[in-house]
Formats: sequence, structure tokens, C-alpha cells
Amino acid sequence: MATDSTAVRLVSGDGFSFIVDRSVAEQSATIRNMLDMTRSTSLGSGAAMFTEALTSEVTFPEIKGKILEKVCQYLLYKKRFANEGENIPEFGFDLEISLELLMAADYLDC
Amino acid sequence: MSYANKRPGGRIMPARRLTPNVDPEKQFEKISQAIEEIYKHNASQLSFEELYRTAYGLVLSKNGPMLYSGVKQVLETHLKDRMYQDIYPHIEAAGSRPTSASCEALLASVRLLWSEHVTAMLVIKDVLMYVDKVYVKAAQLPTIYEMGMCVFRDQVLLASNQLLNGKVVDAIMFQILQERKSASEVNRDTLRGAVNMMIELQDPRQLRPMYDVYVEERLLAETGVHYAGVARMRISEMGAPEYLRAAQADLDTELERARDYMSPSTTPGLTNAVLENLIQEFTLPILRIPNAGLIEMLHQRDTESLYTLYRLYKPFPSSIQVLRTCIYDHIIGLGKKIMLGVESSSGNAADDGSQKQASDVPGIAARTAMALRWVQEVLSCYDVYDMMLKQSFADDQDMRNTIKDAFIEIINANARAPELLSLFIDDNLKNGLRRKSEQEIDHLLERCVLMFRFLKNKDTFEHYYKLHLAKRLLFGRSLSDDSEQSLVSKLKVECGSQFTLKLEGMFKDMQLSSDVNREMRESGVAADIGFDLNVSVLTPTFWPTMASSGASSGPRVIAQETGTDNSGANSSSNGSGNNGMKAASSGILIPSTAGISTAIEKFTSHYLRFHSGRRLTWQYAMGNADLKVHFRSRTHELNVSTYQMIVLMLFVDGEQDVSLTTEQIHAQTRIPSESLSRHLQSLACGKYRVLIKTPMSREISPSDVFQFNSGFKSPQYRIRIPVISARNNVETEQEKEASQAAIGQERQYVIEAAVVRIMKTRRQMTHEQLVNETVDQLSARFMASPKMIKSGIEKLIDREYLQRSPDDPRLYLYLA
Repeated sequence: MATDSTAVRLVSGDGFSFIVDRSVAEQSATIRNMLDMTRSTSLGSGAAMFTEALTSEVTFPEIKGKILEKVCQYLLYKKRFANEGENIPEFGFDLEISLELLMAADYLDC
Repeated sequence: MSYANKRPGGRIMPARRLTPNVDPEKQFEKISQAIEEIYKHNASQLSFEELYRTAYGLVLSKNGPMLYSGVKQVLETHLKDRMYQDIYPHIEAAGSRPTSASCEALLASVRLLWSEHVTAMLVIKDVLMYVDKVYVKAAQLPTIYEMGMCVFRDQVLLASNQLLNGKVVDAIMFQILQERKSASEVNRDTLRGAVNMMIELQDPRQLRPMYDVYVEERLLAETGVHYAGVARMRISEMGAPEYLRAAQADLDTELERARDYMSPSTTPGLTNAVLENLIQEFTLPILRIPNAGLIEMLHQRDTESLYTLYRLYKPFPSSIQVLRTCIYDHIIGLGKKIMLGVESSSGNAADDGSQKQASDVPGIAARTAMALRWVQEVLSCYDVYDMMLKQSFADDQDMRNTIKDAFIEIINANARAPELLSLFIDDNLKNGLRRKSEQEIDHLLERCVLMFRFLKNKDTFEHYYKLHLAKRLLFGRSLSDDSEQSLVSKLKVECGSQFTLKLEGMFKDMQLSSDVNREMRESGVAADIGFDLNVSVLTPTFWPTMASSGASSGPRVIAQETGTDNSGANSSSNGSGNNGMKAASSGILIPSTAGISTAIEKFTSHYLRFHSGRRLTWQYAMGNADLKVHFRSRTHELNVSTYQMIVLMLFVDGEQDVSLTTEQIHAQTRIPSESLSRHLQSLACGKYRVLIKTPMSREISPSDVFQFNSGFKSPQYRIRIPVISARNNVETEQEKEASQAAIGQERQYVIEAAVVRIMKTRRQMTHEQLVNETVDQLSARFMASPKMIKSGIEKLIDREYLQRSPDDPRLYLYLA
């Protein structure tokens, strides 16, 4: 799946992998920059891309699987409803992970 | 995000403590190395996440300032090194004697460093986006990318020991100059790159793009100098069309260059710099280039060059003003030339005939022809300029006014313009339209109306137009009723219904008359008369005053008679269509034969039966008659005027070989002697000699004896005997004076009426105000002279319409 250019793998610090569509992952500005494949220099495009862009895989050592799962759900939710003006359902999550989720949102800029 | 509060008692898990206590210096080291790697295009070896996380950690552990200044330092060091490695050699090379190659090399190296720096900065700013987002925003610093740009500017372009900035600008200018002189090919990509760099970087002091501060000003100044030199050289070598084409080409090249590798903001300034030196500086010299200037372009109708001229002059109002003045003067010159041309050919014509005699028939005809030519030439001249206005001057409003003013000037410079225009129209409506299509006719009429619009003395035109129209209508000489009507309606649009009221009245009279005549034929009254009678009943206020009309006043209707007379020397029979204006008061005696008097009486009683209370005054001067005349060899039909008919009928009576002297004829007819001699002349001395005069001379004296010429011969059956001066010609001096007097009188009335109208609304006015207002109101009809207005005011004071204010002698009061 990791070789499929439209899918990317997001790995949590405790080893959970989440495979999501690239367009979903790019709802996060941070992830979008990590995976940016349009970078280029006078020496060619490969040289300017980071490891993450080349392998379509990003590891977040400081984010736990439980949080990353919720983040992926949120990214999907954001992509689904970003362009709808009304009738957007609430995005629910457990109160107990709210602080960690908040920090992840700050980190991932989403 | 919102949370679902499913378990109200639930505990919020604490956030992990981030960034274990690692030395911030070590953390930064990671980033510093990464930047070097990025410059070396080794990003693929790096983990974005790791770098991002590192920066994130540093910012959260309040090490933002250290990170920010550290990055700045890394960039500075890097660029300083590169300067020495890559750019320094080129500065030395391009230093003293720039060549295209050395400039190119310098620019290329700077551009390369620049583009690599930009690429690296785009990556670095992404990696450090958390710094931008959190620390930079809070500390109100330039973003990482902006900071990178400033570092480049300060370390590379403005590095105090290198003066690189000036050298880069020099190199750009040098390359542009090379290109202008097409001395060598230059690499536009390099230039574009260098220019873009200058556009992107801000000048630290002026807070404008460095391009604006260093490049644009220089470019404009050097462009100006370059083209000033070019212009001085070309002006002495080229004709205006060539010069203008070259200027346009230069402008196009410069704009193309600007579009290709300059800032779009430079375009207006550049256009100005080019045109100011090529065009504005030489506004007048270009127009006056000998043998190839404005005048030649106008003459050759070089619409294309003129269009170029117009477009290039357009940005400079003062140049356009000069151009307009030149065109104006040129048209005025043309007007004078037309005038001279017409006059000199009239001089020739006068030489052919024996010197100027006002009554000389061929002389008058020739002068009329010339008058027509004057109108024709002025109009075709206008056509040319109208065409050029549209094709070369983009229908420019000011230019249109210039051309209009010039034509107003040349038309009104000819004091006889109103008369000539009316004659021109007369000629066209009688003869000229025959060979023309409807469109051409329409165009011609449009042009006539246009010339009319240009006339200052519209009332003078009206005077002549009425005169000429009257003759056309009464003699039935107009070719097209439609054209007549259409012209009048055009004049109406131009001047309002007041102006055409009388003209329309004339048409209406003609219409009513034909109704009356038809009615008469249908009612059987006409049958008793024995010949066709056609009477034109005219309302005197509409029609111009004919020379012989009676002096009677009061309501009256002038009847004009058209009839068919039986007459002839030996015997007579029917003809048709006769038309005579009769003046009862002037007491013309109609010979009793042939029932003309009866016919008149019958018509009168018939007419008055339907229109009681009117008075018919018969005018013979404008009528005509068809006579069947039996000569010895054959019978001819003669088309003659009513006066001629009356004279001829004296010879019908009874015995053969009637001999009458001029005096006798006068006594028997009471035709005014001046008209009589003209008519006798045309009968006895013209081309068709129906009467024999003894002695045979051209002049008519009272004792001359006339006899019927029964031996008259002509190949045609139908003969029109022209009456001298029945045609519409240029007026002789006496006629002109009479017209002037009539017009002057009319004007006096109009002025007085206007003064009263104005005073009635204003109640009181000073002399100046009143005069100005009057001139203003009447300007549509004629130019009222202050003198005439003054005399009008005085007359009104005499008649107690106005009075001078007792307090202020300059003030007039209206008396109700």
C-alpha cells in the first residue's frame, strides 16, 4: 500500500500504522509540507524532497496511536465537510484525550 | 472540534511532557546542519518530521530567539562564502571595461546564487513553519523567508565592500544598450532573472523594491538620453512618415523588452521616456520637415502615417494642440486656395467676354458655374478631412472640432457663402441629381446641410433659399419632390420648425393649388375657359417678395395663373400649362383675345366661392404659357413667360403685319419697362427670334419697331424661349444690395423681437448683458452686431417697450 502514490502511511510513536489517502493526509499543513513532491532545485526534483516525500511515510514519535487514529478521523472529516457551508455534523471525541488532541492539532496545523 | 461529553465524570488525561531536557544548542546544531544540506540539495537525506519536531521543541522551550538569530547567522555565513567563491571573480572581470560577455557572466552568477538561495529558502521556511507560526508572529519579526531575502540583499547586493548592487545595475544597463544598438545578442533569461531579483528585494531605506530605486530610474534616464540622440540624428535625415514609423517601431521594441524582462510598472514611464524625446521634443520640427511633413501627408492622404502621427502625439496634449493648429492653418490655406482658384478662373472667363459687365449674360453664367465649383470644392475638401478624421484621428472629439472650426472659418470667409450654397442646392435639385443614386443624393444633401450648419448667417441662406425654391416650385423645375422635402426636413432638424415654417408653407401652397386646380377641372368651370389653366395660389407671408408684386397690404392671396393660351400670329390653338403671377394693382392689361381675362375672372369667382374673405392678387411676373403658333412653314409650340405671351398676343389680333414700337407695346400692356425690354430682347434678339426688331441691335430703345416673324424656322417642334435672368444665377451687385437690405431689415425685426423677449423675462438688464444675451440667442441664425442691437434697443425705447433706469443709465427696464 505504501507504494501506491495516492495513499500514505502515518505511523504513531507506539507503532500503529494508518494508511490514508494522500489528499486526506494533506488536510494538515504540516503533513502537506512533509510530503511535498513538487520541490525542485536546479539539480532535479529528487534532491529537494525530504525522506517522507520519497517514501510516502511519516513517523510521529511523539504521537500515540490512540491520538493519531482520532487525528486521521478528523482529517477525513475535515476533507469531507470543508467546503460545505451548512449541515455539518459535530465531530465527537472523548473528553479525556482532549488535551493531547489539542497539542497534536497545533503540531500538525490542522 | 467539539467534544461529546459522554462521561460527565471522566478525567482529562494530562498532556505528555514534551522535549525532554536536551541541550538546546545541540538541537540547533541539527537544524544548522540541515540548512547546509539543503543548500547542497541533500534534502532527501533529511527527515522533515524530525527537523520540524526539533524546531517545534525549541520554540516551545522558549528558545525561539536563539533559533531565529542562529538561522540568520547560518544564512549569512553561507552567502558570504558563496560570494567569495562564485561572484568575486566576475566582479573583477566586469570591473574596468565591461563587455557583453563579462556582464553576462556577472549577471548569470548573481542570478544563479539568487535562484539557489530562493529555492533553499522555500524549503527552509517550510521546515521552520512552526517558528513562523508561533514565535515570529508573537515577536513581530520578518518571516523566515523575508529574513532570508534581507540576508541575501545585505550580504550579496549591498555588501559594503563590493558595491555589487551598482555593478549589477551597470551590467543590466550595458546589456540593454547592447540590445538597443543590436550590437550583440544578449541572454534575456539572465536579464529577466536579475531584474526579477531586483523586483523581489526591498530597498532597506526607501521600502520600495530595489528595482524601482536602482533600475527603473536609471533605465528611464538612459532611455531618454539614447532616444534624444537618435531623434537629433533622424530628424535631419528622414521624412515625417519614415520618422514616425521608426519612432513607432522603437516604442514597440521598448515595450516588448519591458514586457519580456522588466517590471510591468515600468511600461508607462518607458513609453513616456521614448516619446518625450522622439516626439514631444520635436513636435513642430516633425510636422515641418521640408517636403515630407504634415502638409505632404495631408496632401497625399497618407492616412496610415497620419494615424501613426496621431497615436504618437496623443499622450502629449500640447503636441496634439500644435498638430491641431497646423491642421487648422492648413485647411484655412486650402480654403484660400479654393477661393483663389475659383476667382482666377472667373477672371479668365471675364476676359473672354468683354470685361466685367454685370448684365453680361455669359459672364454671369460663368460666375454661377464658379460659385457652384466653390461649394463643390469646399465640400469635397471637407469629405477628405472627414475621411481622415475617421481613419487617422480616431474620430477624436478635439480634432473634429478643429476641422469643423476651420471649415466654419473658410466658409464664412466667403461673404457670399449663403447665396452660393443655396445656388448649389438649386443647381443640384434642378440638374445635378439626375445621374445620381439615392445614396449619393442623400450624401450630397447631408453635406449641404452640414455646410449650412457651418454658416454663421443662416438667415441670409434662408432668404436665398426661399428665392430659389420659389422659382423651382413655380417653374416646376425641381427634379425630385422627395429630395426637396427631405432637405427641408433636414434643415428643420438643424434649426427647428421656426426656421422652416415658411419653406413648408411654400410646399403646402403648391399642394393646395394643385387641389384647387383639380377641383376646378372636375367642377366643369375649366371647360368653359377653353384651355388648361393652372393657378398657384400663394400665401404672401411664406413667399419671397417678388420684384413686381403690388404694394397692397392686408390679407390677400396671390394667385398665380397657369394656363394654356390660344395665341399666335396667324391663328392660334391650344397649348397647355401656363403659370403667371398677376399683380392686379400694377394694372397689367391683358389683351382681350383668347379669353384670358375671362379665365381669370372665372377662376377668381370659383376660388372665392370656397374661400370667401380672401383677396386674390394676380402676379404675372413668374408665370409661363405654352402657345401653339402657326408660322409660315409649320406650327411650333412655344413655351414662354406670361409677359412674353401678353406681348405675343398683341400680334395675334386681326390683320397681318402688325408693327408696334416699344412704347406702343408698353402702353398696351403696361408691363414695367425694365421687364418689358428684357422680354422683348429674349423674343427678338435671342436664339429664337419670333419677333423682328428694327433696327437690328441688341439694345431695346423706345422707338424700336417690332413685327411678327412669320418666316421663323426651327428644326424642333417645341421651343422654350428663355427669359433672360430667369435662371438662378449669382446676383448682380444691385440685386445683392437689394438682398442685403431685405435681410438687414428682417434682422432688425428679429433683433427687436429677441430684445423684447429677453427683457420680458429678465425685467431689467445692463446694456452689456442684454447685448450678449441677444447675440447668444440669435447665434443660431446670424451674428448680430452690437451696433444693430443698440439701434434696436433705441427704437424700442422710442416705442416705449423699454426705458433707461433713472438711477443708472446703463440699466434698461422693461415696461409692461
